[in-house]
Amino acid sequence: MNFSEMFHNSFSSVSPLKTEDELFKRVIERTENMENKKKISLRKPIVAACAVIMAVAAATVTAAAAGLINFNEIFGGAIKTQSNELGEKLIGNAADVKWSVSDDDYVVNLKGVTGTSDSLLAVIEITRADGKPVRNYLSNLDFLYERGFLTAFESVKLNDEFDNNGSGGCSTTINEAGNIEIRFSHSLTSVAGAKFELNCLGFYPTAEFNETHIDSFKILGMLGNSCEYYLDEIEKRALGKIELLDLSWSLEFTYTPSEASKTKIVVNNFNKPIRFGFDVSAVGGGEEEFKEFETAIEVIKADSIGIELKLSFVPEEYEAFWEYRFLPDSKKNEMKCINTDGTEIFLTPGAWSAGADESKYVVEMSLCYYDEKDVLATDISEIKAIVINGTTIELK
Amino acid sequence: MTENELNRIIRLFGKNVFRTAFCYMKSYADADDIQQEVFIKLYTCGKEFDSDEHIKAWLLRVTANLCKNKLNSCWHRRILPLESAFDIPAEEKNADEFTEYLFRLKPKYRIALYMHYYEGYSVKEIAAITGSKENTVLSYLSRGRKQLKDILLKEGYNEF
Repeated sequence: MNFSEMFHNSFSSVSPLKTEDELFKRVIERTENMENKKKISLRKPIVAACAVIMAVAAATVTAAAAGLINFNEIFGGAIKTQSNELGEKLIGNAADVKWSVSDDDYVVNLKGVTGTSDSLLAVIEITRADGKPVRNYLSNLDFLYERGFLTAFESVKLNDEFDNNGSGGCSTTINEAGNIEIRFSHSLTSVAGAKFELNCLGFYPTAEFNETHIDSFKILGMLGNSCEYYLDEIEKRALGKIELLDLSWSLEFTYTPSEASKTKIVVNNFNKPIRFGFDVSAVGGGEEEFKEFETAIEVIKADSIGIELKLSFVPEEYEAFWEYRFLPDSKKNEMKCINTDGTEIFLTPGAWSAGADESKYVVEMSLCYYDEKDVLATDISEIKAIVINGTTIELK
Repeated sequence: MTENELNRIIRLFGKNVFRTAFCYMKSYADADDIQQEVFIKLYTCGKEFDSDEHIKAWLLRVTANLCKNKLNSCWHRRILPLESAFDIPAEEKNADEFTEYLFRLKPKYRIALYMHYYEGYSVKEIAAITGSKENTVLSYLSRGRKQLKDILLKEGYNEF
């Protein structure tokens, strides 16, 4: 039996959980609900005895301080910023932030935004207007919080304009303050002044629910872990006794990369020297190993945006494919630029591609500038050498 | 898009979307969520398609993107497997042994193999769907085949 037959035999018996009719019906229902939520913003507690419908006033708030949001430490450490004026100029700002929320008990805050000319990173927090943790209002399942389970939510929906190529992503968590925090990153077009509209369709468990029933399996799924002994408790509480948060909000702001950030790269999570190596499949086995190879390194281009390198090597005893990964805690084989004044700028990877030609394996990668002292890239004309994987390439 | 058209496409490609999502997520429940989201996107995107093959490729691309987002989300990383926590018929948990072995591969290898051997896509088409370069897909296929073969040999499969 060949691979094709194996795949067909196996996957042909993988059947969707919903029938086609059920899926169709559900898609139509969800779409209609989405449309209705945009028109009428409701907060709908799940109460068996009665359904209370509250008319909601949307609050439109312009960002404080004349419309400019400055990203700073509150961004959460994911982005290193320069503490002086130069750093802020290098990154960008968000202007004319507006948001509206379906329930005036809740507030949406743009905590920070940064990015480059072609990517955007932002953090949004949803808090309660009375200052109490949002988490406390999500359900009555206090005992689960005490046991350290996280209550998570439906993912944030981005409008199609920014979601159609899948180049972005977002994560939703409960932060230390007990509030909902959303971090999202997305690619922008090369046009400055991108406008985002985030239509959050509500935070509620992934359970399908109505006034009389909650799918406890889904709630279990939401809470995670082996909670089977809580199942009865959840079911007892389910019918009308759990108040679920159903919040709709939209956030609209204009992000403009600063002039400086259009020509310099702002990098993200790496703040330590990077060890440069490869995952390869070992001879005779399926396990991966991390190996370092002697590489021939060619600088294709070095300019104010970054450096493009071509690395090639011939690991004869290994399979055709490998990938690099980063060990930010290791100080071995640093990747860095050395300036004429002796200061160092560490390199972090941007886009890269890998392939093989007839005789060797080749990586082409773009590297970005990052300074471990929180100072962003300086003028490339000051860079005299690049150190890659222990090899020093003199540029001057 | 009309409801009739949506219905038609669901019948044509609903299973493909589900199986692709299942290959990524290794979970019936997650694949079910993804499948639903994919068709909601289709219904609301307002996009014009040239052919059914165009539709299918779009559906699988969106499926791949949603799966990748979900796999990478903080929420997903904090969830532990639930198979032991709820009552699902045994035959639904995994299609068979083969998928269990396939699931030992990294997502990028197993989805490349699935797209090629089950959906019948070429390297170029897989690259377009998954957003990878063609050379990368070639490498995923090569490496995935080797790893899967090694697993199958260890598990006593002799003929393939």
